Amino acid sequence: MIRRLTGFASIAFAVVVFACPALLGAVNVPPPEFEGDYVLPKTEVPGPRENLLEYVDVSVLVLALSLSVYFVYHKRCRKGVFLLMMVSLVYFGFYRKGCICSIGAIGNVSLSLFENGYVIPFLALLFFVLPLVFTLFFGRTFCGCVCPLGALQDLVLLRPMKVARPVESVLRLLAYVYLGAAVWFAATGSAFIICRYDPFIGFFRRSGSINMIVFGACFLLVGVFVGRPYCRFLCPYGVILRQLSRLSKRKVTITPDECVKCRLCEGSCPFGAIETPTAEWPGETYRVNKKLLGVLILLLPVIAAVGVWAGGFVSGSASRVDARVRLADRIFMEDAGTVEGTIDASLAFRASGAKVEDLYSDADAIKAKFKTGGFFFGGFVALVIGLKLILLSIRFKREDYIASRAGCLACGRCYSYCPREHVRLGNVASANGGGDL
Amino acid sequence: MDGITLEMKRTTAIRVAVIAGVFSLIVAGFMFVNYSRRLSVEPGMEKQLEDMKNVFRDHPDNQKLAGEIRQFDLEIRNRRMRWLAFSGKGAVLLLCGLGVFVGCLKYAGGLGGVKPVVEGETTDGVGQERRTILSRRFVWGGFAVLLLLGVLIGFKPSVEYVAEDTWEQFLAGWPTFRGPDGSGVSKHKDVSLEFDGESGTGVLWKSPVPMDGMNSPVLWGDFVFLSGGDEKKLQVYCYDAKTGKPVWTRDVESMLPEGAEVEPMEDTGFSAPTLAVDGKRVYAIFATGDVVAFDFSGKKVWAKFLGVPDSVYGYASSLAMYKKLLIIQYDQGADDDNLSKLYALDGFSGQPVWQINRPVANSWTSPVVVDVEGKSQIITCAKPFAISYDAGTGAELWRVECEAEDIAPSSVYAGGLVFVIKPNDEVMAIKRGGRGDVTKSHIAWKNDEVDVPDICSPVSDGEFLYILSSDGVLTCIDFKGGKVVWDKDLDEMFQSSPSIVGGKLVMISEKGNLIVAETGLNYKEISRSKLGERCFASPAFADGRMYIRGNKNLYCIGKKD
Ligand code: SF4
Repeated sequence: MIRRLTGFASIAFAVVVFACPALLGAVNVPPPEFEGDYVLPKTEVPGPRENLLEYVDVSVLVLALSLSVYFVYHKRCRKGVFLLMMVSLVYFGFYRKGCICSIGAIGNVSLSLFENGYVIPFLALLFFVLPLVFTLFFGRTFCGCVCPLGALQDLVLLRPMKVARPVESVLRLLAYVYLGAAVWFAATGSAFIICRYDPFIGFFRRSGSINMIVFGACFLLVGVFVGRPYCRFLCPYGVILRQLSRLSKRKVTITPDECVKCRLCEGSCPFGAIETPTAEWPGETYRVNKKLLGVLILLLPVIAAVGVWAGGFVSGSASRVDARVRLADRIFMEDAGTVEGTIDASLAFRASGAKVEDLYSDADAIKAKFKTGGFFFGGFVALVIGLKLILLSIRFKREDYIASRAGCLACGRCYSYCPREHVRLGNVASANGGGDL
Repeated sequence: MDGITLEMKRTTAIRVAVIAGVFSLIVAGFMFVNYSRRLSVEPGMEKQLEDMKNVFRDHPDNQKLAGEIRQFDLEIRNRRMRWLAFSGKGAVLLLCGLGVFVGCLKYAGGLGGVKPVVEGETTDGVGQERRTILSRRFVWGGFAVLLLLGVLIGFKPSVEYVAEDTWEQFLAGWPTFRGPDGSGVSKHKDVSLEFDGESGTGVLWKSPVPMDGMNSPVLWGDFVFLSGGDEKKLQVYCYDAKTGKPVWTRDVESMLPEGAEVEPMEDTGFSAPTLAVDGKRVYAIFATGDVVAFDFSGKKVWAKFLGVPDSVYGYASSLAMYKKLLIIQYDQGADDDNLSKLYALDGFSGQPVWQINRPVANSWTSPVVVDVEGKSQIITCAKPFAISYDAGTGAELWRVECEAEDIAPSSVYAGGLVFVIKPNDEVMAIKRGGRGDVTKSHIAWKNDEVDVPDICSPVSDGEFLYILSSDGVLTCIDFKGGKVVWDKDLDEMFQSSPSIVGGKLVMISEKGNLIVAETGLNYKEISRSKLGERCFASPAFADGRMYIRGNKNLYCIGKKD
């Protein structure tokens, strides 16, 4: 019954989610073309949040992170995790409208590192750093319990399906590309793409461009079947947390004490984060893999060099992310007669009386920055791919079922699947039942 | 509470989920209907509004239409606001409904328990190995796809900007009335100044001009531009500067509102203002208030209507240019009517970059754009002020209260002084560097004891100032003190302004007699040449050549190569 209902629910949910974009899209109302005494009010940029409220935000974040550690490690309680996740979703998502957010803070941090004139707001810095510090000690409890983007996806996960490991391996690369691009664009002062393309912000704010809401709706729809697709395959902050959690002091363990290899937890993780015991390699396979490993290590600089070249190659087009470069291109093409007419931005520029030479030299300077950034971006992505290939050629020996250090989101779902957990709780009688909130 | 079993909790959760789901669907349905209704209605209304605005652009005096547009615009805005309010409330309800729906389903699912699945062997070595190999292949594939994407994206070549700066070329040529700075001084020194229009001696070519016009020729590269017109037709002409062959003739569609009448004096006509050219486009303005831009191939780039000018003798101010800005001195009505404006239009689009209200009456002078200590100023004259503006922003720099009614001579700037003429009254020099009203502080000298012109603009070689009255008295004035050095009656009537070429004074009379005289301490006539037809326009000078517009023909004076 429940399976049928969730099937029906998934379809109904899909219908509603797809209807949302049309319903939530905000309308741009152009300013009236008044003539007469009426003076158009100046566009007001909302001031920074009041100091006190900023402290409240940081306090809520610290409290949520601390509670996440409490629920994940001390209580080992999925219900507590779920409740905390919902509170975070309401506070950081719907109340704070998805801003400030640790993921978007990557942009601020990058810009502050590369642009001398930019001073990162202290709040943004704290939101960036605090989850990193907690991850370093306790793994990805931020992802599992506090992040509103993760919480929203976790909420809609109704019919989890397994993503094949090879597919997962390649999809995960997207997050590195996204992280590289986000740092690249922010460092050049061109765009905070993480914020601009946050797929869920439209839902939190109940307004946004139709395109972005469709994008978010697609993620939520996929999220009905695939556990947290944004977190796993796109989130740039998740990439950083993944690496830090490899070094974390404490890690999530499925079993509270020992693994009895009952295999009950094997299918419990909707995020593919449970690593199974490994079998012995046959001698032949071992030798082939060893050779391959050597080749890959030798190939690593070549792969990186190809990436550097590709990054530089793509930088010219990528620089069009920058509004000033786009404007310069447009003005140039209009003047050269290769495009017809004008657009609002070019008209506004022409009406400003600003010098086109200045615009061109600004655009050229931005392009030069993009070129340098492009080399780093390409090199970074290629290096990640090279290292991934190397890692895939190394045999890690495992004897127990364990939660992957990097991949585990500390959601606490698998705890109740482990019979040892039920022993710990003194609840042996119902040891075969799992909870799946 | 003991009576509440797990099964009961689950059933309740499912029921609540169903209710919340149905509720969400109903809300979404309502919102969708609202949205599609908006989609079906709003574009039509917007199109209607745009059409009304387009009609209004052609008839800016139609106040009834303006009122209707405002009302209709308000109606569209009100509708949008109502729609926004509706969808805003709906969104909250929908999100709440969905939240309850999903939450209950998860609760029911959790309570039911997802059975653990145990399949296959504990450690499937072959399976693991296969997955690893596949993973590596997928990652290689991912790398290839990324590279391919990079190549596809990066293939669009980056634009190499070349800022085409034609300003230097502009300053070296004759692109506006009396040259780039309106001074009437040619940078080309070796120009043929002697000819006989009737016999054709010294005339390189002569080409008929289809319609009358008081405007003077302007030049760019191989082209000469003129305009002509009457109450029925307005035209712009482009001639080949080498051969005199017409390259193109374009009719200008007037946007004058129906019923509106423009009746310039016969002496002014419909196309008295001289054109301007900036290396890309040629601009023309007519007494009807129509401004138009053509590219060099004769394609209309844009057209604009500045409103029916309220000008006693007909609008006659020539166009000026500052870099990419087309400068239009649009003086109208009385000085307290608040109708006069100075426009700076973007040459590319015709959009106003800035526009300034001028507290002056209608005038027939032309703005001059001059470089004063490295900064470009636009100097204008109209009753009661000579006003200077910053050429880039239109900000007023200084003004002098010195002008009277019916002013036609434009000012000139030379050697740190601005020379201004108060018609039939006095000539004066204003010192540079002032800010604000400098009437009391910056007038270097005034002279009201000379034959002051009422049409012709003055000319200066930086040593002396030369003024030419309509009845033919040429006066040379000491540049620094304002004293008369000499005067000479040329026995001719003049409407065109004098010029200086290669250190020689060049004047062409209404009868079409071109007089060349020496500049300096004494008057000495060098030559007199006959055009053979009447002339009211000022000549344009290029390397070795002079272009004169007679009242029927355009002449090119020069030596054959
Ligand atoms: S806690 Fe368990 S179920 Fe949750 S992500 Fe980690 S391994 Fe997967």
